[in-house]
Amino acid sequence: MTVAAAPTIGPWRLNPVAEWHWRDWGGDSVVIEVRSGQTLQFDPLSAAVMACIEAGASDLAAVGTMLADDLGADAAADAAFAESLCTVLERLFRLGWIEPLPEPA
Amino acid sequence: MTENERNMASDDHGAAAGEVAGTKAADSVARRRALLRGMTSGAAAAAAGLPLQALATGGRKHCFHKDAPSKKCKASVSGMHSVISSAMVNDWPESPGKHCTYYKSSWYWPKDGYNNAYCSGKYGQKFTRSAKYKDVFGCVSGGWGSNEEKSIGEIMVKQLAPHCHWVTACLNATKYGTQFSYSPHEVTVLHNDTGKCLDALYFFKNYQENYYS
Amino acid sequence: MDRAAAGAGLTVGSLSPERLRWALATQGVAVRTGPVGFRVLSDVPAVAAALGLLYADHPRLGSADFCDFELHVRRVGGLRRWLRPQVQAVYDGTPVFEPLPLGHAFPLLEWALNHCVTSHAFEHLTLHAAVVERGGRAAILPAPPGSGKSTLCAALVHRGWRLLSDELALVALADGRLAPLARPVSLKNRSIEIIRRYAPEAVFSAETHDTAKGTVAHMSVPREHVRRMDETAQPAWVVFPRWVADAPPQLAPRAKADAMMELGRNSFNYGTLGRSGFDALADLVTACDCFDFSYGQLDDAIAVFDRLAQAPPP
Repeated sequence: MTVAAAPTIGPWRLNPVAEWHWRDWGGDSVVIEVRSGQTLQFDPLSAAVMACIEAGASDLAAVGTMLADDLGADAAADAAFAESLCTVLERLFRLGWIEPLPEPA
Repeated sequence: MTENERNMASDDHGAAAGEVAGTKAADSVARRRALLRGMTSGAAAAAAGLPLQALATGGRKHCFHKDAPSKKCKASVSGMHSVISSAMVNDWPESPGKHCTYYKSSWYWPKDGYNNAYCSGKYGQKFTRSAKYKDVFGCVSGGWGSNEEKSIGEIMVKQLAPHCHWVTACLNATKYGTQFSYSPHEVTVLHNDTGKCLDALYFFKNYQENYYS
Repeated sequence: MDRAAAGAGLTVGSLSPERLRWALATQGVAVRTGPVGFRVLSDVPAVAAALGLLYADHPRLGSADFCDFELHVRRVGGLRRWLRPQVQAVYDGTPVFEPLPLGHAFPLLEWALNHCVTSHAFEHLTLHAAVVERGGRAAILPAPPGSGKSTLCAALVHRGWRLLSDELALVALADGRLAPLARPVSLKNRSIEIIRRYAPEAVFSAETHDTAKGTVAHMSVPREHVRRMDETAQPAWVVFPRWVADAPPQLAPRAKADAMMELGRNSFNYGTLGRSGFDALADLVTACDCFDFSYGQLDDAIAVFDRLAQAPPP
């Protein structure tokens, strides 16, 4: 099965059957997705992006706004930073942790 | 290690999809601030560019020596001598691998979305056939004219050993993904580990190049 | 060999060599090592000799006591009984490994025991690591084969550190403490002579040559460590050792997330345990100072570990 280009703009939702538990040590994080047993080490930004999504952010703009508050106004204007957000979101889609919001019936 | 680090308890956060996100907003802000403390957007972006480290949970696989196909063993550098009873590995999927001669032609290399042949290497990056061996493996060069300075395409066409076996390991890791015993990045790590590289080379050459077609 | 019983119960050493051989060949001998009890049956005299030497101080279990495993180490029948004789380890009716030459019988027993413990110790998170303890605090030394872990462990054991295990760290899921196994230390190739010279008082089994790991010998556990096999220890340090010829000792802090992932890669049952394994591993690295350690001389390594032990607990 080929994976279509990740819809990193949104809107998306968390995988409804997944469950995550995190451990943070300062900026370092390790997370387990309990259903699959996947255990990954996350960099600070990727962990922060997941934290935004777990707090309700369902599109790129919302994630960007939250992180701009956290990192300061420079982040909002930083094109490389925006590209990194897309990379992180693509990764989360590939992991199956977020998925496009289903079309209304 | 500083006193603060020693006393810092890890923070435990759990989340199930479907929980009301708004009620966790304050926790989320505090957590994100702690994660990103002291970081610039540039540093955060750079860290996010590296591949994720994952544990291969439940990933036991078996393989066999090319000369003894009935004697299965654990598919790992340390496990190739495990000589586990064949009965015990019957439930374990095989970690397959093509022989190095299979990849002489670019026809059989993994292809990207544009049908270009590539091989994944250090940090899981994709490299074309023209990439130098030293760049794929992140290793030092043996000097002008050495195999490390040659392209991985040339190494495979000419079957320049032992480098062709290392490239084959990366190609098999690229082709077979999680089916293979190691990821491409892990292959490069083994390559550069002076304590493990000889055993690893033996393992890849003799246990992971079993299929010619 | 005349040895006093360790503790109130009977020990393996309280059996005469003849009685031990007979018991192994008939109803088996049940031995306890820390939280694990196992029964061994074997018709191989070398197994009896090695057990009598290396497990002499270990308590014996009674016929009514529960054993976690029953392991048969027996000569392979048929032509193999005479032509290049072989031995096989069988657990619960299933061969644990492929048959090996008869001369490899005792190492085979030890490897089979490791396999059984790692396959069935679900009340513990099991790690491929050596564990030593001093002053109630334990150092975990995770490392793949060939890193010098067992050599370092054997040296530490003879310089004031208590042996919990040279191969398997058992982290209790209930409280995160480390359970001793107090089983013989497996050494190979050059390490055997290195430790013979470093610790002339150490007791060794006969050497077994031409195994998959080269020449192998087992070093007995000091009697006092066997006596204390029920004393668990609080983990305090995770040290990833690497022997590098002639290298000066270098102890470098390792990030906890990094250490957790590396420990996970060295775990036998992390994947099976799921969330509880994750929590156990995360709690472990939280409780410990984590380091990468490279060294070239054993005395240098001992000095570094002694300094760790002398530092006050947090």
